[in-house]
Amino acid sequence: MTTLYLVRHGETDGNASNLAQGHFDAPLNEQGRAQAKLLGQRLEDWNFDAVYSSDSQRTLQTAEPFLKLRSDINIVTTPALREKNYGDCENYSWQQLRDEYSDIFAQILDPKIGSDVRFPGGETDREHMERVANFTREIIESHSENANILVFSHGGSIKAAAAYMCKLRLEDKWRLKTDNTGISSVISEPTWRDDGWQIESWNDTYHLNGALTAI
Amino acid sequence: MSATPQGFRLDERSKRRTIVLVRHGETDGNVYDKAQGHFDAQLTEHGKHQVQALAPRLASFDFDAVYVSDLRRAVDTAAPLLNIQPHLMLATRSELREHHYGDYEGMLWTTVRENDPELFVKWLNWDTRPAAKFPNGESYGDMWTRVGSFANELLTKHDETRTTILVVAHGGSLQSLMARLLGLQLENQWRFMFDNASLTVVKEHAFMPSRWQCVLFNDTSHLNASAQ
Repeated sequence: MTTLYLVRHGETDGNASNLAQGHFDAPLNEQGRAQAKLLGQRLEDWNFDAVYSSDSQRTLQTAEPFLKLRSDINIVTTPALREKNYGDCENYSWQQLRDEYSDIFAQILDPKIGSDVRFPGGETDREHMERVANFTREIIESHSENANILVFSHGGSIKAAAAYMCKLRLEDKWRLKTDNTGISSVISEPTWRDDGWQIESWNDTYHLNGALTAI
Repeated sequence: MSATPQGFRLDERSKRRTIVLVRHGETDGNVYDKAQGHFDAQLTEHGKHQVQALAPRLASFDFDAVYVSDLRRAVDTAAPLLNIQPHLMLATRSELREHHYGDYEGMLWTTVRENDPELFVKWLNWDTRPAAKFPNGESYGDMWTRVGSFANELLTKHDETRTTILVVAHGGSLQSLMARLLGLQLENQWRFMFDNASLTVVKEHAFMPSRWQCVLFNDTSHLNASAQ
């Protein structure tokens, strides 16, 4: 049984004001740094055979407190785990995208065609999913069948990886929501009935408050 | 063009409808891997501890309605919450029961495999599973329809914003219910494994009413917060 732990980065100012950050390299804000610290403490005693991260600042800063507690771990960083690229529209607010690119915005929301629509210069959902899925498949294949693999990444990329592993339709990936520093896990062959990967847990933020205020 | 940080109205978020899904605590059938179905099993001692630990977490929600499968293991899972919040009214519903395994109810899965290898293999394979009908019981397609009608009724009846509903049911019926609420395909439901006494939350999308998202799945932090 392989377990893939998918962790979303902590809060940035862009998250707090609903921006489509994409590859825009925003740092964590104060709230995000506090979240990352609590996340690090939560993960301190967990077993991981390998740790990967998107090379964006916000995911690296999210991993930092955890790595300080775990000198045994080497982190591998890669652009393959970055958020979807929004091209010319990076760091626009969703409201602004809806207002200024109303045609594209409407097409993206249409489940029949949305996966193949891009903002100017950006990626489509399908291209983004393929980028993340290729890397995810690579890291799974490079480890033993019983590996615990930790990945620090972004909301869109985590959903894309989970949808790919669990064979959900790409246009359904947004049915899964991720909060800042939420921990999600997908596992292979968990039961004798299985023929593939399953979602073991999704968007666990118990370390932030031990309650459900984030929901 | 400059990017002005101007978000959606955040206050809209708190108005969304919420449905909390809880699987019953552990039974002997879970421990020994039996096909329980409509067999009316009781919680084990461990199962009773699980649902006690779950209750305070459930009490942090302000439920407008509570729907529970009428099987004992589900009713007993909701009971500790009612001790904390006696004002809650519990609606027991047979539509929320587990998959009906007919003649094989209460049997070990290994016995089912020996007795009816053809059905077992058909059921094991996800491609043929929807049509695998248990003698005098249900197929997955039957449960998908039964639970789907319940989901529609629930959403029609509770159409007010801010409504929060608790549903306590079974591993199989919750898979169907969640996939129905999220608008997923029938075969997608098996990708979500509900553990005993786990907490799952689905919410209406902030800006697309009547479209639902999973915001928390299979959270068992209340059973062991430090567990990996």
